Amino acid sequence: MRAGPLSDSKAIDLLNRYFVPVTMANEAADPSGERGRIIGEFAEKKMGIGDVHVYVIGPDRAAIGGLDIGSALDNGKHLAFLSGIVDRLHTTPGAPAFAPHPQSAPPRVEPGAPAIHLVSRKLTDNKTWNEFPSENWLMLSREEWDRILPPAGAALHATWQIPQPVAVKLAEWIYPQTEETHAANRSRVELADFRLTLVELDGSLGRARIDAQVRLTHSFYPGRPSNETASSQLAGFADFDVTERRVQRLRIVTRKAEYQGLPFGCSLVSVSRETIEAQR
Amino acid sequence: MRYLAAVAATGVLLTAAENWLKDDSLVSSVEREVRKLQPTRAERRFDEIGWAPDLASAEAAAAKSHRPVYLFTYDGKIDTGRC
Repeated sequence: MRAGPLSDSKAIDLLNRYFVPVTMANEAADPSGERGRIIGEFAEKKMGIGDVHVYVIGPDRAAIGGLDIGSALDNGKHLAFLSGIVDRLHTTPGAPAFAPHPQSAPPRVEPGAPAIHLVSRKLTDNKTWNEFPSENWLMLSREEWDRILPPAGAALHATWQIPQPVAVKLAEWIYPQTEETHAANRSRVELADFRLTLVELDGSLGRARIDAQVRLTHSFYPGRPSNETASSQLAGFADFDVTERRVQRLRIVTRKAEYQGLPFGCSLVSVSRETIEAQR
Repeated sequence: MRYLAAVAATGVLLTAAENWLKDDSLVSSVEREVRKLQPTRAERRFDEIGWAPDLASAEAAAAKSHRPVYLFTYDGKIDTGRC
């Protein structure tokens, strides 16, 4: 839906001008029971229900109409559905009820502990499961960031490794788009080797080159265990202030990576608290 | 996203630090590869829709504006593409 009907200009315009659009993951909490109430009403009125489904309810919360995912993925049917509801309700157009904004939003982070934005995509022309990249926001604590820094007194060309618990956190999402129905990661990290070499030192400022290898098993579909493996060779750098014991920026990107015999690319970019707050 | 545009444009993000090492060939080559992977504008058209933050907010806004609510239910995380 995201890459098809929900990226169509006419649908975007109709949704913004005539509807109040909202998405809700099936695994999301429904403390008020409202999602359950809506689905129950649609079921009772035999208007169709489904896990991946479009439900339209009126301003009074009464069921108006629905669209199964098969029909919703047909752009023509989706547009006709939206237009039909607009005509039926004689809705007055207006500005979006909520201003459009990036849906993949960085989390709030503590001072000195940047978020890491991970982007991963297959590097093939095949559009299946590749209509848009996958993203994750990784969170390291201040103490975990500290473990990426060089040992005290490290000299130029010194080398060190990121300790396993932190390395695994960096590695576990390095695989391309697969079917995900839960927020929890089902990867099993077999290798998370991040080696740093101090390549520049200027007063308290330093830069380390990063050479990394990651290998993890990750089944394409949840609930269907397999030994599908994502293997990556990565390179990058970390800039830091050794006196303040703080990483200024971290970049890691695949040089060569493969999953299910297909190449993919993945990048990890630190985003500082200052940048995140400035964009809110 | 705007901050990613900033990454693409300058390769530098805001931090509290005032001092930076100058970019070198390592930085340039890594940043170049990072940029190639970032979501494109076309891949982010979904963000052009004014999504309500949650169902309760959507219903409140619908009642106020006399508009219907369009609720799309799904599995996973559609916002980040892990779905």
